[in-house]
Amino acid sequence: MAAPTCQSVQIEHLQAEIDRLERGTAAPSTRGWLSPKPADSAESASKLAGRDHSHPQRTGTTRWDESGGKPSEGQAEESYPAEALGPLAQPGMLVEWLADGPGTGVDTLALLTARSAVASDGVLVVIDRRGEFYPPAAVGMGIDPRRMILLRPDTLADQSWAWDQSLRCPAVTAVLGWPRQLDDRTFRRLQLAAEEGRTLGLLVRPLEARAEPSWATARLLVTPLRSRRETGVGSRRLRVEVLRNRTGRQMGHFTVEIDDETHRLSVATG
Amino acid sequence: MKRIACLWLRGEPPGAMGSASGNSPRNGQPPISNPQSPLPHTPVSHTPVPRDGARGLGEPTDPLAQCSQFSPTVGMVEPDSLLLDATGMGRLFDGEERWAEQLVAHFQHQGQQLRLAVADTLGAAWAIAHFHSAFIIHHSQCLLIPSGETAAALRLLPIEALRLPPRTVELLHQLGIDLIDQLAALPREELSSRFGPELLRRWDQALGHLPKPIPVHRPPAEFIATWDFEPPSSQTDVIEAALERLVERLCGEMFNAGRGAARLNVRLDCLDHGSGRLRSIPLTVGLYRPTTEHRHLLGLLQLQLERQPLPGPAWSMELSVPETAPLTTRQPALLGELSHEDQPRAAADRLDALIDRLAGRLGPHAVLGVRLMADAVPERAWKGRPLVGSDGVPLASRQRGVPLASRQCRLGRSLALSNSRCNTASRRPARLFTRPRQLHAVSTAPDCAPERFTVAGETYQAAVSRGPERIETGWWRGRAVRRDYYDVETTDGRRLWLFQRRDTGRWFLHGAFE
Repeated sequence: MAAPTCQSVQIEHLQAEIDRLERGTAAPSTRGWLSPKPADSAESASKLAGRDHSHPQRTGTTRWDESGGKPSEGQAEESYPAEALGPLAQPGMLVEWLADGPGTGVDTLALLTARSAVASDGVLVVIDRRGEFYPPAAVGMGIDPRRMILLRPDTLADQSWAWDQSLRCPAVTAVLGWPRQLDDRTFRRLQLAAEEGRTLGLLVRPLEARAEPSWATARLLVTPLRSRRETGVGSRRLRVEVLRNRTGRQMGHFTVEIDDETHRLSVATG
Repeated sequence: MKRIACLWLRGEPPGAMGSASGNSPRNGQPPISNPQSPLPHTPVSHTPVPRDGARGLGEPTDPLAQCSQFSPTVGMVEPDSLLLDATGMGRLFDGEERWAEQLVAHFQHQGQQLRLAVADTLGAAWAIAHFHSAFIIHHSQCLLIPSGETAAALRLLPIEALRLPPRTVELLHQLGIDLIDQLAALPREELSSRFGPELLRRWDQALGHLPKPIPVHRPPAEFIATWDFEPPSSQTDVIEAALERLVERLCGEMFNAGRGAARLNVRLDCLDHGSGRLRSIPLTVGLYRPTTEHRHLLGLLQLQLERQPLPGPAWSMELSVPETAPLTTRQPALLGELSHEDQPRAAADRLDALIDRLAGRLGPHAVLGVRLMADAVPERAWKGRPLVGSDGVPLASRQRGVPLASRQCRLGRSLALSNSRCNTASRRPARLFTRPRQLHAVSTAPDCAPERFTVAGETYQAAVSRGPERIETGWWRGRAVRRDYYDVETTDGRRLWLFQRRDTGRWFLHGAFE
């Protein structure tokens, strides 16, 4: 039983070394970041990403920033659930959203994350190769159409290139798209591009992508739940399961509730 | 009173197919098989060449350029129909008749067949030049309609004289309306709804009730640079090195002139091994913000060049800047450090550069700004407009240093609209299928959402629904839309957007609340 453990430790060590060389930064941790120690994982991940905790980074969520990462009282009930998703959706990170079939609400959640990141002065790039993204819905959620750039690449190669260019541009705040096919090398390149441009990447993918390797900071599985109201469609509930979390915070699942009219999110259960 | 002249150049003058500048075979080089130049105003087929050597060396060969000696405003609606502003020309030429005579004589001297009509409006001048019977009956080449008599002169002209879409003309003929006079007898308020808005617009423009300015002829690109490859080369690095030299040269010229490139054209003449002739490869780069940064321009051109297969070795290359805009400079930051005020500008510059790069590779049609439209039909409720290019969103600010916020206001004037439509938009799905998918629905009661439905082999059981939201369009907008939309939540929590056609009763899945 000891051999596999030793082997996995060596693999982790090598992965950390590769990561250090690719980034060109010093890696203080020798544990690697694929299985970080919960206590220091956030710190080591931040250092690996070239961030310094002495200067807090903008998360895109004003209240989250102002409170220093601690949600204030009542915040969860009236704004973006920073305590749940905020740390997973910071500048320079890739967030992968998985969902199965139509009507799951995954786009809504990704758009609300983008809205929170873009706020009033950011730019959102939407890469929509299939041509089914409906901008009026995004506008209805509070995203300013004047701050939205819609890309319609014709080929897969153009799509990957557009992702890379958009993530790498520091003037872009967030990039949202639906890349079905994403090979390991391309995914890794996108992650590095996001870190370089300090851009938030939101990748919405089908559930089949769960079996594929991921370079995203977080991989979230969104499953729809029945709404509480029986008289009409007025709000919806979504179960979010954290399948992967490189920031080292505790994985698990939580339920969010989204009001249909105001699009306010609240965390229903922990 | 405004006076407009329409000069209709009819037929080919002898020996007019060649042009002095471009298409004649060079010494020892094969002829160009497709000499279509990317330049907007290259000589057209009517380029007159003097039969008797009457025109001196150095005189312009382009009819548009020749017309500029008769009027300060010259334009073109079709390649053979030139328009001149004749207002006040009579004073300079001893009367309008004398002015017209000289204009006709100028082109007659070149063996050109033509008709000239002068009227109060652009539409009337064009209509009379093309359709007035006086040209046929009296074999005249010039007809001047006195000021104020335009409407009377138009009455007996055929309806084709209004430059209407063929479908409208066909419909009018089917109804027995052949002359403009017959059109005048119809009730005006019904014309637009029956024949479309174009009919009234053209008619009003011809009568002078609506303004119709002359589409002014723009002079050809001021900034042109050429390169001859000696020997011809198909090596990418050789072509790129030449391209870099040309871009650098033109950027320097533009910078000295205080102009920035808004559009760049490259014509690469390559020998086609298949046909043994030269083939022109056009490359075009549109810019979101005018610039003279040669590295940026070169990068955009390289993006296109590397995706463009060359049929053979390149013989020559021409780089031109047909569209420029004023350039304002700003003081560079001291020691390369950006001040607090400069940071938004730097971010805006980076975004502009990104948009240029994206449009350069994906194409201008694939880089869009979003604009909401005041239309109830979901698929028409927004429009994507290209951010780069003259056809779409206007190049926001052709000045450097305009803050991003003010620049992006031009991307779409839809904020006010979006706010007013927020209540509706908040109930729209994030995903709208390009074509509604027909579904098989089981419903026990009329005018309510189905209880069960099957789409693409999957069966869903409805649990909760909201609706109907009725969306209808008027008959005057062509094919009428009459739909009842339902927001349906299935038993497993999915949220789908269905509609039932009011005319057929069929059910469709139009979107999903992803």
